Amino acid sequence: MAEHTVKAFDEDITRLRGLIAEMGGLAEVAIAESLDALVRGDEALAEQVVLRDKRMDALEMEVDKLAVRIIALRAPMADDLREVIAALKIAGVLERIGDYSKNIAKRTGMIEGRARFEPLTLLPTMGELAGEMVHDVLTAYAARDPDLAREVIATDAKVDGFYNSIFRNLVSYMVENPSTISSAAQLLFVARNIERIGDHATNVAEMVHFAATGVYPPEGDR
Amino acid sequence: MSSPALPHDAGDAPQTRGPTRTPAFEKRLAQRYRAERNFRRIGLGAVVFSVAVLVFLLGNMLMNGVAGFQRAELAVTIDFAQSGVTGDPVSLAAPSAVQTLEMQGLPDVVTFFAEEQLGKDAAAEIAPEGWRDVAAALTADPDLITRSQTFYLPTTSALAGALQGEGPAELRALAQKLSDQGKLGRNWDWGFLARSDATSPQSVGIWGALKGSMLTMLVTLVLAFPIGVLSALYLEEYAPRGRWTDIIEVSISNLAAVPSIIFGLLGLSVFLALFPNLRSAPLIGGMTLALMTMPVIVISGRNAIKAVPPSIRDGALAIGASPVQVVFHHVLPLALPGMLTGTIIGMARALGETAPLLLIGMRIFVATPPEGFASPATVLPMQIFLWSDEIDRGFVERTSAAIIVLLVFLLTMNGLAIYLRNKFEKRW
Amino acid sequence: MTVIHPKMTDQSAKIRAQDVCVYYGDKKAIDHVSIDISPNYVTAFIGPSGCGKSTFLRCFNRMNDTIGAAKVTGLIELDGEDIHGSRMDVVQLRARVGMVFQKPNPFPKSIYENIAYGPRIHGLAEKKADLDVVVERSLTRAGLWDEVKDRLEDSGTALSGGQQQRLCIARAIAVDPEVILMDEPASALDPIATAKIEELIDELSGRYAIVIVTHSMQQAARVSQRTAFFHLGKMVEYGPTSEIFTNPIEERTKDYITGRYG
Repeated sequence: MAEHTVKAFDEDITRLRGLIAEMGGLAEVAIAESLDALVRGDEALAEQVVLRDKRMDALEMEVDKLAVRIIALRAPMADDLREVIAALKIAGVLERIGDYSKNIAKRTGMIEGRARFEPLTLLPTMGELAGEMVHDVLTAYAARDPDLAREVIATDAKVDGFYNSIFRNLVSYMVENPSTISSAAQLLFVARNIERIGDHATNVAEMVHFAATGVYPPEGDR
Repeated sequence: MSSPALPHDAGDAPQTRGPTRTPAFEKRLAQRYRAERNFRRIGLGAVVFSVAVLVFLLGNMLMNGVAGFQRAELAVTIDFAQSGVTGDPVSLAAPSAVQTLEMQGLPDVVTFFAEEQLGKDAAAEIAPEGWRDVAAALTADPDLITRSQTFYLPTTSALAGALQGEGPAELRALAQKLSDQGKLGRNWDWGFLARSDATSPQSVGIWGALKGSMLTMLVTLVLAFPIGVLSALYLEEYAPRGRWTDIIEVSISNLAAVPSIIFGLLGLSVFLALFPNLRSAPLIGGMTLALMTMPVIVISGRNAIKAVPPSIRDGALAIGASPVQVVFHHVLPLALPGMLTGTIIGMARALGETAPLLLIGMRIFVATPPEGFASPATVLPMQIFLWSDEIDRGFVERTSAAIIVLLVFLLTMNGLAIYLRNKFEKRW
Repeated sequence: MTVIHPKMTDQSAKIRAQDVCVYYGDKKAIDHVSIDISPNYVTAFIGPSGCGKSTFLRCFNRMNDTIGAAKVTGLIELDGEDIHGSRMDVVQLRARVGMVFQKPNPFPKSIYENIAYGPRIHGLAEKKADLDVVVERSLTRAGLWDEVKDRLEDSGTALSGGQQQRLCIARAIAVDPEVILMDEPASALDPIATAKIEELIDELSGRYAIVIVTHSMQQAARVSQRTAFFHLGKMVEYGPTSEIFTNPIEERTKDYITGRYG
């Protein structure tokens, strides 16, 4: 795609993308590390995840400021405009994804006797899938690739499937081992958070599709 | 970077400049100031020189011309009651009153009284037509026939010259004696502006030529202005751009540069052939001068029209004005000041032209002012030329006076046109 | 290849152009442009300098006739009547299709005369009382009445730039046109005057079909409902303004409006 006649416009857009990419990277890492901490009971790591979430919040504010500045000063049109609006919304969503990871990390201390939790082993896989969705959707954003975005939307079904099986698993585990209900309940929340992360990644994918093509992906994909 | 490094872009840091006022710079600066001063002085010198020449010419004219408005007059007291001339208000008011008075012997009466009061020699030096002044006074005021009055009658040009120290010794002595007695003097001659050409400089007037000029100018204006303006409008607004239009343009420009005497030839061969009995009439003169003036009006008219901004035309067209409406409602009013300027220039030139009128016969001796456009007439510059050709010394001053009249006429004409131009400029 | 957005075709056209070409001597300034101008909307022509948008605009009221070297081919219809046909009087056409120019050009007459001139020459009003009504109505519709009602005899050229342009718009309105063509009407004005002109265009758009040429995309986006993008004498894309500026179809259009052109 040709460059803007006013080079500073290109620099602004590049910076915006860079911020989104950074937020996305942080989000991926947060998902992985929070689940790692949870599974291994690593409270120090969990603490780090919580602290690093502050960086996410700061980045979101930066994205807000930059997007507003671009709209005021550059009067973006057509795909530039859609990209800036999308970046604004995506930053908000990524920030929420970060919050979910933080939430997961916080529950690390509440799980007792983890080695025995069979469902605990399922969670990392689900988390990986969600993390991949986030990774792919940010790749799609950078490349303005609507097809990759649609693939991400399709993947959400799998995450939902994972959630359903973990849910059933945990419920039957709780029925069989009533003493573990409090810990198992925490895991329910964790699984819910991961499922929500997947949904948010889907939202981002829809926005990426809109920014790239000007239309939202057809309903059937959801 | 393939281009050689300029002093500025060697490195990114801003260069510190050296001191501005180097000796070389100071020298250049001084040179520049000197050149400016010299140029201003030369310009001023040129203006002063032109003004000086103008002042000299005008001053010269005025000094000579003032004398032209005076003439030598002898004082004669006539007592009509004792003169034997009779008349009553009715007969004196009749058109043939002057002839009646002449038949009654008024000239001899005048001579009689003059001889009695001034002596035979002096009486012989009263202008032959001098009695007409007395007759004119009588017809103007019939009551005078019962009284006596002192008249200041024009002398012959010989005595006038003698009064100023020229001519035979005895005449000069006579003039001196009469002048000492207070009977002979140079008086202000307003009649100069009311009389026409005559043989003696004492009796000439400029009115004949002035009226002739006015009539001729009127004919010129009435012919040249509309034709010139309409031609200019056509050439600028309607004529298609092409070879024929170019040829016409070139022809008109050349016409403006043609020597004026050629127009006289044209007048002679065409106009006089058409109207052979209108020789030396203002009508023919005006037509000839109109031919000469029209190209000037066309050229200045076209420039004035070209100067009207196209945005006005576009605005008028866009509102649905037809081409004729655009021209007459919008273009012409804006171009009129410029056209009037061109007309002033053209008319001023026509006023001063002698050569073309020579050929059509306006160099005649016209003793009475022209009655209409078809009567024989002469014009001011022609009159000046004719008088300057005369041998009689007295004509020199009269010529200068005539030049002053011509200049005043010119200024009045220009003033009127400038007033009109300013009026239009303000309105639009 | 012109792209016309799908929602454009089902409207009664006030002006219809078909395969219009404009030649300046040998040079082709407009290359086979066809477009339907709607009576209900403001239509904007945008495009880079020299793309022919002003030239095309001037075809609608046959102002190109005044340029000797210009030749117009193709069909242009106003309410179904061919404007180059023998039955169409060009003077009458220009009363029905008014024009406002880039640089305000009031006549060097009084404000009253500026407005009254058009109706008078077209016979729309002759008596002073009728002309007074027309003058007041036109100036009111142009948003200028309150500012000049006490000085109608002042010269039109004594007004400020923005006021002069509104005077020109009032002058165009006075002859009761059906279409108003505006050739970059605000490009010579400051932002406040520009905003007033844009507001005026908004108010007038219900009553007159307006076609505006502008080199400011933001202005086109603000005032128009339909936009046509011109490039090198061809019309590249024509569609609803919101679509053109958020999701244009043609690559060239996108490049131009996002500032990637040139």
